[in-house]
Amino acid sequence: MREPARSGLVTGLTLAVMLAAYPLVMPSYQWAVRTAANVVLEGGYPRLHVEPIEGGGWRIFRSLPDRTEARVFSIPARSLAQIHLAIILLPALLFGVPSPLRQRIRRVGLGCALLYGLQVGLLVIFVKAWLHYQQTDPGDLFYNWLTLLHSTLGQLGAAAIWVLLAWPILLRTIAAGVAMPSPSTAGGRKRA
Amino acid sequence: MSRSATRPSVAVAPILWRYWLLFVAALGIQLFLVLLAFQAELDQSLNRATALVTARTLALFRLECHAEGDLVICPSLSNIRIIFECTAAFPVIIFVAAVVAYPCRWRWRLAGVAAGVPAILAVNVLRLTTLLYVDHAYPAAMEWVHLVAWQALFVVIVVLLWTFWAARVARWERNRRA
Repeated sequence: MREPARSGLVTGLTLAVMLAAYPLVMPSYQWAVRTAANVVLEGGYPRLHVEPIEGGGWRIFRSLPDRTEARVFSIPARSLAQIHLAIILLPALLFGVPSPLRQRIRRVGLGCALLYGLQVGLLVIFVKAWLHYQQTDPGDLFYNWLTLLHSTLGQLGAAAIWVLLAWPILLRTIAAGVAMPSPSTAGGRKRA
Repeated sequence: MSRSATRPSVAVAPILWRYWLLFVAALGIQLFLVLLAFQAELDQSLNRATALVTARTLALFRLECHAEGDLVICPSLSNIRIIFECTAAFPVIIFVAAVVAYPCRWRWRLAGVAAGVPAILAVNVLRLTTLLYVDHAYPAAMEWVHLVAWQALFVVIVVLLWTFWAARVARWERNRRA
């Protein structure tokens, strides 16, 4: 049980550092997500834009042919903080994975890049889905599922990337005995 | 640690992808179930139950607290309203998905869920208790502690719980084979 305890300590310390860096990291990350999303949304039809509003939230609006704007919807600052929480959480989860320092740094970099792509992509999909379903069927189950997924991305997205990048190591090191199980034990099934 | 020991070989890569897909599928299905629970208004019962357990736990420590619906009322501290996000549903979803995706026998998985979910619920009561104290003592910090610090810490605790469970499963499995 020594390795999990050490990993836990490293994860906790990294989380403390990330929380201390929150006032710097979060605005920069949100700017980066917004900028990339704007590149995609402004190139599509209808032309959409994401802009920060007072208080830290975002407003999404569309440009009309007469050069006026029509508000689509807003994301309040509280929701944004939760959606983008993963940028604080994920480095802590990945840095705690036992491996040489260089690999840890590389893994954190890769994880953050994946997270960035995921959050930009899901924001674009969510905005497009909002435009479509609010006009046709706001009660649509898929749309509501997507809304829930987008709002919980801060925790669930970080967990999904952690499994993708950390499990190849964790399955070998922490659970050494059943690290990479033979097909006979994988999934709890026995080979006939 | 050698380079080869930390990188999955080509042969095991498809197995790892399978675990990841299993994890993501378990997350997606559980989110869908949460959505159905919302529609059936089951979330209200969960909110009320969380408020009640939190108030009762605080009362154990001789604090004058009680629950009124989804409200936890502590006159000496503060009052908080429990919404669905406060019920530990999402940390439980992550933990259950990770346990289900982990390659082991179903009995270990059931043991993991049976032990892990109450532990996560207990951590949530601790979280709500600290939030009551923070709201009382440092109201300016409440938003940050609530939305950022505890949300991140909670997932880290879930991951650590899973890690200890996985290590325990490895030990059980080794003992069984020995």
